Amino acid sequence: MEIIKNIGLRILLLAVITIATSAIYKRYFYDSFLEKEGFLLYRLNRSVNADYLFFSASSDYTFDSINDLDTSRVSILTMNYCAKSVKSIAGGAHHAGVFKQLIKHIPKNKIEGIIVSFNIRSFSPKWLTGINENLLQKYAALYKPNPVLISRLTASLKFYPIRTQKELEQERNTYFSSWLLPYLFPKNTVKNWYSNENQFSTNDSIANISLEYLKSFAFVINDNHARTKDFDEIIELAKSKNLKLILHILPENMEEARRLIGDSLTALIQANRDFAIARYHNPTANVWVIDNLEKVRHVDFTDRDFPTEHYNQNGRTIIAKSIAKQLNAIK
Amino acid sequence: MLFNSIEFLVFFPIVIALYYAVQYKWRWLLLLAASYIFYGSWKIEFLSLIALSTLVDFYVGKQLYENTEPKKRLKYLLLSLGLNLSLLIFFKYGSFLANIALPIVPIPEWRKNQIVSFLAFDLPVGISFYTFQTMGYTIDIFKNKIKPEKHLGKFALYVSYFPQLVAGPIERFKHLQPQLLANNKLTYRNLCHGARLMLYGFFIKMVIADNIAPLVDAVFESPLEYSLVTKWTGILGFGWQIYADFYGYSLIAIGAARCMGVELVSNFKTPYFANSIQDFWRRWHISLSTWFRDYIFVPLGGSNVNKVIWIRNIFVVFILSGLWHGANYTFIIWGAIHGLFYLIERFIKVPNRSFLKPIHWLKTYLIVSFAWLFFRAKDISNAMEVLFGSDSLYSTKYLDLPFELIIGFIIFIILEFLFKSDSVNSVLNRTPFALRWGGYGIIIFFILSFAGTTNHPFIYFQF
Repeated sequence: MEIIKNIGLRILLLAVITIATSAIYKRYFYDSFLEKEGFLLYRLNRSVNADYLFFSASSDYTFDSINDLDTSRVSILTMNYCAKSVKSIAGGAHHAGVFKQLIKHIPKNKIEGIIVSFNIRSFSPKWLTGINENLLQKYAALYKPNPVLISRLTASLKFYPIRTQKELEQERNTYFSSWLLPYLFPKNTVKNWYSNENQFSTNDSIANISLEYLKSFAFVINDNHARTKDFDEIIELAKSKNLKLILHILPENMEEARRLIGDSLTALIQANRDFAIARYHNPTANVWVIDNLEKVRHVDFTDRDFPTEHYNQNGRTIIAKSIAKQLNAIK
Repeated sequence: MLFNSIEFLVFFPIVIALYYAVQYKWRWLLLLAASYIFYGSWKIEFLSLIALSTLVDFYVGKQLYENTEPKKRLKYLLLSLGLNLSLLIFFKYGSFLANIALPIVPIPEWRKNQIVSFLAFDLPVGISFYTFQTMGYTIDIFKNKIKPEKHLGKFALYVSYFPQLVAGPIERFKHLQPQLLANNKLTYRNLCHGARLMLYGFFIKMVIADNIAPLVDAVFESPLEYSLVTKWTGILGFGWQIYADFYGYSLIAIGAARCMGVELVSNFKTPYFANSIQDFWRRWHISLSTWFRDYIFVPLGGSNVNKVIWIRNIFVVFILSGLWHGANYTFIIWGAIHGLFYLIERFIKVPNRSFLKPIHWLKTYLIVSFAWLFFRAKDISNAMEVLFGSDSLYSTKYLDLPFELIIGFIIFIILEFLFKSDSVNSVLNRTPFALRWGGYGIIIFFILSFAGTTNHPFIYFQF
């Protein structure tokens, strides 16, 4: 009995300490922690006075500040062509798995809608098992709408999936050798496709970039894909919060994909685009999918050594205009 | 399952509750199951290695006890040492040895690549700890110091007891096994003392080590970007990082065992207060240094030999101690630095007057910190870059020391002074209730609010 009394008293004291800690932390330290380690949520909390929030990755920024006369982000450029205020919630390599957690923090009826980048490449095994994935999983855990102290503990106790470099590599190789493509051998898997190196190039740098394109785009999106489920959840969240939702499919360098690999690769990218439009475009439910996949030319992509969604000023303007056009069309 | 994880925070109270709830005769089975779940949570395949080591050493222990013929006994001992060292060499040093040997082996390049990629697997967690623990067991039976365990399951528990399985302290059979099998009663004292140690362990691991880690990583990843002063901040920082990391782990392990009435050996005694390298090794990773003393240094002749052999023995122990930490030349250099300065101190006697104490302390601290540079560097050239890579004293890139780390570190140093001559629990027992709980409040506040968030598992898990 004595021991229960002793322990009970201590548990009570611990509860008081925890409650006091939570209050002090929330009042004095949480914001500075978010600013440093959860910058997208920090920004979101200060952006809910806009009409639209723009969830994106590095495709929002300039990567050519020397040649771009206007280095504005896509989200800023969009405001040049429509009357809506748009604020950017963008972080490098971020994907729908992180965005969906952030969207949960948007208060109901506070903003009109959200614009979410639909990056086809973010569905690829390369991205799913990329070097940034552990960090992105940490962000996703940190952004879950939990009490602030719980949220911080999930980050400090690493309560999110962490895979070692070797595990990620192994998983990636499994994808490449087992994910079936809708082609006959040798194009039935990524591994078989690139093992047949003759069709690429004898030039090492061209062969390397061809391989990068193949690994980044040779896959088929389906209902069970983890990223599809993330977007499904975003649709549901937008609905539950009365938010208009614009998914804009990011332009990919289709000219380069065609030149390096050929139509069999671009056909896969287009099929994935078609999947997204068929699944999500539903104006009556306030969801619009903008198809920008082939709107930006090779010259307007800034990277040459690997596939990215980094555009110069002209590329960003094209995207901004198409989003603005959709915003203007929404009543 | 890491100690600083949600999984452990759920697992541990369940184990403690079951431990005191089940009948005494089944406790060993409960702890064994818990230990295998704990270890298997990393990778289920790793269990096969620990099970193999357990089976062989159990068999060897029995045979050593039953046989009196010296040759036969030696054969059995060699079987145990051979198996454990083979596991260690294959999993820990395989890749390192292959990289040394393959360039001179006349086999095709593709075959060499095949061997290298075959050996590039994840190191089984804690393999260096449990193999050393079981080797100690068979050596002790060989020397007739202990009798073997007759029950395989109970022996398996000794090998795999979860609080100290993956990073020590390395326990002797004679000390641990009777405690594991004792009918420990649930007492407030044990729970309280155990919880205190765990709380302090979490504080120094999560607040101190995990917040220093990103700063140290930054310096060692791109040393050329930092000034000499900043790089030395990184080197000194690593000394504190590894101490807080490993001491934190050890405290949690000792505290967790204490909650079950088991007292594990102490692994640290404020090592940065050491006045000599010899003193440092009496305070740092005590369970490993005493293992090397008893099973390597003494059998080699210890100190009762001529000076040349003694010098050899010292170097063998320190270099093996370096190698124990990992397959890299940097660990050998780390061990050699300690060995060298240990010998220098023994040969050059400086009077131990009280006014000279700060100088002795500073000298020891700087030598130990300098050696950490090699321990932390990924290779020798990285260490050289950190030491000599930049000639700028005024680089514009600085380490951003977060204020919570500075405050947490000050608290840590104050507590180090408090615990310098007495144990954590002795000091706390003497402290008035309100002051003690005020202290707990601060520690809990720091853990909950300021624990590091970058992914840095316990450093010693990789050993």
